[in-house]
Amino acid sequence: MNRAEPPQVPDPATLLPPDEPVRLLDEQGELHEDPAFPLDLKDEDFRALYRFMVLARRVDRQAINLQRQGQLGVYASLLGQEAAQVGGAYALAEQDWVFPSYRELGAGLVRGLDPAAILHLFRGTWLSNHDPRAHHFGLLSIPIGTQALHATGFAMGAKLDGKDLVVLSYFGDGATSEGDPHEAMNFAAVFTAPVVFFVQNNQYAISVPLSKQTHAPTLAHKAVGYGMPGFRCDGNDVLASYAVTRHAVERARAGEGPSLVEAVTYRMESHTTADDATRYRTPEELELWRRRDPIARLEHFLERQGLLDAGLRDEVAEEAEALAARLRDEITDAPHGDPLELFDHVYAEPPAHYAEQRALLRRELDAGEGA
Amino acid sequence: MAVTLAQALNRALHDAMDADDKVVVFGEDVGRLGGVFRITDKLQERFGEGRCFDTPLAESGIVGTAIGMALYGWKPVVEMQFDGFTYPAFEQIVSHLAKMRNRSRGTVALPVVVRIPFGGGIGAVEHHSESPEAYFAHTAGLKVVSPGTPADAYSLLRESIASPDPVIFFEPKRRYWLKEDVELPVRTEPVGQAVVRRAGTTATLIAYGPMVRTCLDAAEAATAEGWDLEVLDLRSLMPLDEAGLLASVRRTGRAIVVHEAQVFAGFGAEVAARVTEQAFYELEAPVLRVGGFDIPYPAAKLEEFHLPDVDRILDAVERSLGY
Amino acid sequence: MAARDFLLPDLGEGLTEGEIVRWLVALGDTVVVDQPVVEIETAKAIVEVPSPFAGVVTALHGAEGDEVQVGAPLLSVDAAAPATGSAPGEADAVDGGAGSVPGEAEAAEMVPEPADAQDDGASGSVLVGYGTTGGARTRRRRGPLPPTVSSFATRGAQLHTVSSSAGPVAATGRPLAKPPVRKLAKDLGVDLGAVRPTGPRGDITRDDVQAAVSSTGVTAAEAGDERIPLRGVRKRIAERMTASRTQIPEATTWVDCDATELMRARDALNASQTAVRLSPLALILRIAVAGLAEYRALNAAIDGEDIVLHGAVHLGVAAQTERGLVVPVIRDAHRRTLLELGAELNRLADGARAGTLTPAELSGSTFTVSNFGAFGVDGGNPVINFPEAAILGVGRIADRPWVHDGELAVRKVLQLSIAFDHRIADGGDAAGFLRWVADRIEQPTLPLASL
Repeated sequence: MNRAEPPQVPDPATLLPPDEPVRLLDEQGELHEDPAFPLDLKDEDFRALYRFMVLARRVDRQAINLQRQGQLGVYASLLGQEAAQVGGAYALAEQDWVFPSYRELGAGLVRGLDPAAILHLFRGTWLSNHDPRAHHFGLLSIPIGTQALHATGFAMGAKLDGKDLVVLSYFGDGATSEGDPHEAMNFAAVFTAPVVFFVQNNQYAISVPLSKQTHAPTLAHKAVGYGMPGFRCDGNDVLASYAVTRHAVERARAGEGPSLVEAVTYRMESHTTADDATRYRTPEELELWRRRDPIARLEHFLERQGLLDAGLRDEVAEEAEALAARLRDEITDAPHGDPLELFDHVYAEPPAHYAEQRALLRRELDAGEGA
Repeated sequence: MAVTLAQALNRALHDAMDADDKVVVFGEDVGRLGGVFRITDKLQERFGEGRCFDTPLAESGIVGTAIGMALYGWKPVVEMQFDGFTYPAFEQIVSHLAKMRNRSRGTVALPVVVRIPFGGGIGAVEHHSESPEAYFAHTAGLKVVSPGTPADAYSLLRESIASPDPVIFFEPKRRYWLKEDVELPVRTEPVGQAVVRRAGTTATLIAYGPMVRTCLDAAEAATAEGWDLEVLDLRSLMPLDEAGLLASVRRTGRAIVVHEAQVFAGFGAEVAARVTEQAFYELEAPVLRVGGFDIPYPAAKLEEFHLPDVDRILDAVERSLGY
Repeated sequence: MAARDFLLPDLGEGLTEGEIVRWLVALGDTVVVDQPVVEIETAKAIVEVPSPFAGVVTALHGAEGDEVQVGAPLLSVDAAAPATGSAPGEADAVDGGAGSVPGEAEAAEMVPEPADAQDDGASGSVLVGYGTTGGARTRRRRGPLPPTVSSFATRGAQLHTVSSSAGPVAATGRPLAKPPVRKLAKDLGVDLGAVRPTGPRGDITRDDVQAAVSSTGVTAAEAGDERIPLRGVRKRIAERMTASRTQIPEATTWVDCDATELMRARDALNASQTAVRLSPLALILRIAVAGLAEYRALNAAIDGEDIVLHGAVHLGVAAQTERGLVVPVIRDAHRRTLLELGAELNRLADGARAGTLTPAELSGSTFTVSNFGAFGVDGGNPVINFPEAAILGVGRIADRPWVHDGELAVRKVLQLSIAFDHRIADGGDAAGFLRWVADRIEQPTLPLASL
C-alpha cells in the first residue's frame, strides 16, 4: 500500500545527452547517419522539409516588412530557427498536437495553420485567430513557459482517454528558468504522459545569453532531474531535428513517457521587431551563425541528392511569393471587428451587468467623431 | 437527515463523477487520503486512479494541467489545498483559465472548477485562513462561487462542475462541520441568484460563505435590541445578483456587507458602490462594510480580534441606524 | 495610375517623427514590393523601411538628415511610370543568409545618437506593440446622456402615481431622498413620510422639506458675531422645540388668580411639620396633578393614528441649569401626597442644580410645567414639551391690586397659562383645567370635599 520507494528508473547516465548534439547534416550538407536516430524519410519528405523552411522564412520576412510598414504592432521572428521548428513538427503524426509559445510560425505551417492567423495576432485584430482543434495547434502563448503545463495536461488527458496521441511542447531557453516548465516536466514524468518537451535553445532570452540563464551543462541535462531522457540535436540541421524528435515522439507513443529535446540553434533577428540586438550581440557572432544557415545546409544536401533542381527551386519560390502577397493583401489595412464583440466571448452566457456596459460602448460608438 | 457542509461537498463530487464520465478530480492528497478535509473521500476508491488522483506538490502545475485536460475534453475539478497556497497558481488562473475563451474568440471553453477551502476561524498557522476572493472576482472570465449552507454546497458545486465557464469555488472551511437537515441530491437556487436567508425590515446584512452563519447569529441577537435584520446570502460574487441585492436594500433602506476579508479594496467595496449608485435615493444611511482589519491575517491566538463577529456586525447596524 | 504616397508609419517605436539617415533608392528607380527604400533613425537604432508598393519612384519627400513626421509622405511610387533610374535591387527572397538582418550591418558601424527627448508623451519603444502615439487622439462627440437605466426611474414613477399630496409611501416602499435632503429633514425634525415630493424622480427635494417647516431667516455672519455650535444637549433641545412648534397645532389660554389663601395654607403646612419644606409651587403642582385626572385630554399624546390618554402622571418640571433647560420628572405624581411630591420636587431641584440627575430622571414626562415665576415674570407662550399634549405655565406670585370681597385690596396674584395641542384637547378642556386649578388655588379648602 505504501509506495515510498523510488520509482524504477534506468541508470541516470543513460538519461544524459552525449557531449555533442546529434548532427546528421554537416555545414556542407553532407549526411552522416546515426543508427540511434534513423532517418525514415523519402524523397518527397526531403522536398517537403525544404518547402516548409522556405515558406517559413518568406512569411517571416514578410511579417517583419509589414511591421516596418506599420501594419503589425510587433513581430517575433524565427529567422535561423526554421530547421528546428520544421524538423521537429514534421516528426508528428496527424493526430498529434503542438503547444507553441509565440515564435512557432514554422511549426504552424507544418501543421497546416494559415500564417495569417499569427499575423493577425501581432496586428492586434484579436488575441488569437485560429481554432486549436482545426490543426491540432494550440493557441499562441505569451507568458513564458506557461503553455508547457497545458501540453502536459493535454497529454495526460489523452492517455486517460486511451488515445494514441503525442504532444509536442515548445518553449525556449529562457523558459527553462520559469517554474511552469519544471512543473510540467515533473508531472509528465510522474504520470508517464506522452509529451515531448522541445526546447528551442536559440541562445538568447531577449538580451540575456544562455550563460546567464543557467549553469546546467546543457539544457538537455535538466531532463535527468525528472527521470526522463534528454536529447540534444543541432537545431540548424533539419534532418537531425527531425530524427531526434521522431525518436522522442515514438518513445512517447510507445508508452515510454516524456523526454526533452534540446535543439541548439540561433535567433538571427532581434527578440522582436522592437528589440535592437546590436546592443548585446557582436557582428562576429552573427556571422558565425550565418554560416550555419539551416536552409543553405539543406539545399546543399538536396543538390547532392539531385533533389533540388531549378524547377523545384522556382516552384517553391513562386509559392512563397504568392503566399507573401496574399498575406500582404490580407493584413494591409485590415479592419478590426465590431468592438461590441468584446463582450461576446468572456463567459458562455454574458452576465447581467454586461448589458449596461454594452449600452455604454454602443453610445460611445454612435456618438461618432468629435469636433 | 442531518448533513454537514463537508459531506454535502463530498456527495456532490460523487454524484457529479457518477453522472458525467468526463469529470476528473485531482490535487494534492485528494486521492488515497481523500483530502485533508475528507472532501474527496472515497472518490478514488469508487472511480479509480484514472479519474481521481494525487499530483505532485505544485499548484501552478495542478491548474495548468487542468487547463490542458480541459482542452482535451475532460472536466477537471481540482483542489488548492488551502487558500494561502492558491497563489502559485495565480498566473495560470488569471492569464489562461480566465482568458482562453476570450482569447480564442469563443472557440475554446475551459469547464474547470478550482475548489479552495477558504477563510479563518479555525485557529490555524499562517497562510491557512486567507480570503482571496476579491482577486478572482476582479478577473473577467472567471465565475466566483461561495456556498454558505450544506444544501448550497451540494447544489452550487454540482452546478459549477456542469458549467462551461471556469469556476473558482470557495468553500468556507470553518463551516465544513455545519449541519443542515436536507435530503440529497438537492437543487437550490442557481448560481447568480442571491437568497434571503432571513427576512427583516431594519437593515440588510449582505454576506457569503462563512459570514452567512455569523450574520444569522447577529440577526438572532439583534431581536433583543428590537432590530429586525434581513440576511441576504449572495452565494456567488460573479455573477452577482444585483437585482436581488437591490430589492432587499430597497426594502430596508440600510445595507451592511460582511466578509472576513480585509475591508480595504475588498468585495464589499464593489457591493457598496453598486448599491449606492443604484439605490441612492432610497438609502437611509451609507452602505457600511464589516470585515477583517487591513492587516495580514493574524496568529491563531489573535484571530478572534480580527474576524468580524456578532458584536462588530451589530455595532455596524447601530452606526447605520444613527444616520 | 497616379503615384501612391508611402507615408512614414509608426515603426512600433512610438515615434512621432524620424530622421532620414540614408536613401537606398533614387528618383526614377524602379522598386519592388518590400524593397528597402530608406533608413530611418528611431529612438534606438537605424531601421530599414521597405516599400509597400512596386513601381517607379517619382518623389522623395525629404533629404538625408531631414525629419519626417509619422503619417507624412516619405516617397511616392508610380506603378505605371517608365523607369529612368537603375534596375531594382534583389528583393529578400529565398536567399539563405544574405540581407536577412535589416540595417544590422549599417547599425553596427554607426553609433546611433539617442533621439531628442520626446516632449509630446510618445512612449518610445514598448517592445511589445505599437506604443503610444503621444499626440492628441481623436475625440468623439459628447452626446446627451441616456435616461438613467436603473430601475430607480420606474420606482420614482410608481411613487408619483401612488402618492398625491403628502408623500407617503405606499406599502411597496419608502420616501425617496438624497442623503443631504435626508439629513436636513432629520435636523429639522421633519418626517419624510409626511412630505410631498416634487423632485423629477419622485424624490423629496430640499425645498420640499423647507416647505414643510416654518422657515426662519438666516442672517449672514457679521464681524463681532460669536459662533456657538449647536451640539449635544442644546442640539437636542433645539430639535424638540422645532418638532414641537412644527408639528403641534397649539393654542394658549391664561388666567390670573388670587393665591393669598394658598400662601396661608402653605405657611400653615410648613409650620405643622419639619420633614418637608414646601414651596408654593409644590402646592400648585399637586393641585394641577389632581386637575389632570379631571381633564385627561391634557395628559395625553398622539401615537400613530391614536390619542393615548396616559394612565399615570409623570410630571416634568422645567428647570434652568448651567447646561441649559432640563426637565426633571416626578414619576407617578398622581400617587404622591403633597408632602411626598414636595420632597421629590426639592430633591430634583437640588439634583438639577448640581447636575447629578440621571437620564431616567430627566425623561419620561407626560405633562410638563414651566415655572415662569422663577424668572420673575407672569407668563408667556411656553413651548409644549413634544410629544405631550399640554404645558402649564406658572408665573410669579406678586402683590397686586385685586378686588376682594367687593373692595380694592392688595392680594398675592398669580398667573397661570397653558399651551395645548389643539388636535387632542379643546378650549373647553384647557380653560376648564385652568379654571379648576385656579379655583383651588384661591380656595385651598375646596379639595376637602373630595377627601
